[in-house]
Amino acid sequence: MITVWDWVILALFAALVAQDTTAGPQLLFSEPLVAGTVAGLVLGDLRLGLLLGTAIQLIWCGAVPAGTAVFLDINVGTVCAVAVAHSAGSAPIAAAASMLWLIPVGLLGCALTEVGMRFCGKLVASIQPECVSAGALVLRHGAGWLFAGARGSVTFLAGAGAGVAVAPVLVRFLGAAVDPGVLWAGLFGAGAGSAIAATWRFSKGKAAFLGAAGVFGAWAGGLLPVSW
Amino acid sequence: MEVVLRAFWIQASLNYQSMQGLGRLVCLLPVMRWLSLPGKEFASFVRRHSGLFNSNPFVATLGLGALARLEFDRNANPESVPDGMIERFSERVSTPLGSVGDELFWVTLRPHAVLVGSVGALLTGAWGACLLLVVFGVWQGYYRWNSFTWGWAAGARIAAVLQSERFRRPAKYAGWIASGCAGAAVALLLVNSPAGALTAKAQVVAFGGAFAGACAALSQRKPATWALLAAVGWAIVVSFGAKMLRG
Repeated sequence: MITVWDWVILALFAALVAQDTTAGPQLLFSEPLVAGTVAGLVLGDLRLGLLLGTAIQLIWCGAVPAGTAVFLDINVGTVCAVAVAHSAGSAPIAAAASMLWLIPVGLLGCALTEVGMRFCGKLVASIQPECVSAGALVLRHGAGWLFAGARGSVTFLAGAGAGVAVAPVLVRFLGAAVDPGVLWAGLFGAGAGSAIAATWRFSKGKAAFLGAAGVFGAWAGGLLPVSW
Repeated sequence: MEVVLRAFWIQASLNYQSMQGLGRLVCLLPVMRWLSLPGKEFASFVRRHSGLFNSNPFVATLGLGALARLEFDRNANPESVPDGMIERFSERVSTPLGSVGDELFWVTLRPHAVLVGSVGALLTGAWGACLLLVVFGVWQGYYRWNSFTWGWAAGARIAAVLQSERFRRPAKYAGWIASGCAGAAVALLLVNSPAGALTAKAQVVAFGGAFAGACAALSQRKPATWALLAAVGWAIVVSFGAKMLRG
């Protein structure tokens, strides 16, 4: 159950996430791992936030939101996914269904980013150097930042609002078609593959990659008598 | 200091016409104050700095430092900086600033911080998110602050700074750490993922297939969404297959 206050806090947080993604300060608290964790904390379900945040982060770890490249707004989408999964009961299958719902939400965020670029273009085109003041320039610049925030809130409210209605259908469909354990194994497999693909070109000689994989695997599997 | 702080929001008014043009102008407004330019100079200052500027946001301070230096030199000795030079420099420098910065931050340091954070999350839970913020914060703080100083010192010759080891060596080491973390993430996900360990054969098959699918899709430069959809599709097939084998 999501209370009205939760909706308000998450909508404000989604605004900050959208601003951090494209407008500033770009400290990366908008990354899915952080955004998912915070959204989980707000809803009192940290485990769900971490589960979704880690999975989404790993799958999209190579995505680059640079320049004019069109990208899925997965950061606001993550906040949305945590809210939708929480409203659907936080079960593993609900969490997986909310990850699928992230795709249309991300597309909505992407479309609104495009609108924001055009809005800022109009603001810039209206500048007349002869009669503009420093304050007016800062105001125009600030309006772009506020628009980014509004974009985040609108994306979240529209995406999570519709998601709460759609999630039960998705959960029923997925629940009938797939075993939750197998589905999450597949999702984390995709995350692991994305992580390797994103860093493959760095691992010249593969020594660091293989070494770390071997040591961590052995330790986590209980083969090394090491306690950290 | 004020220019560097303003540069955190350089992309606030990002648009297709001038990209970060207005952001660059707003960041450089304190320079106008330092130089105590007369009011009538403001319009020409705005004209000089309102054209196209498309840098990477994290190394934009390098260009801002160089532009501040050119304004300073122009004010001290107008003949040393001919008319139109600042506009031309601004436009030409944005491409190398964008490509070197994107390569360093979006392709190397961000995946590095994200993977360190993800491994931290797999091992310690919520602390992984803090680790991501700290690692990336240190990198961007270092580059945002120092780039302004480097740009100020180099002036119009910032190409040499961009080609220097300052922008290459950290990327190399961060890349190695990122690779190690990616490897560690794979091992940890196999034995102790947040959704639980892989205990059934069907789970191992689903993990392996989705892993191979994601590697193949992303190495062909397909979007990560494909990897997600392929993983869900593959999991449905594996679940169906497992049911058939049991039945």
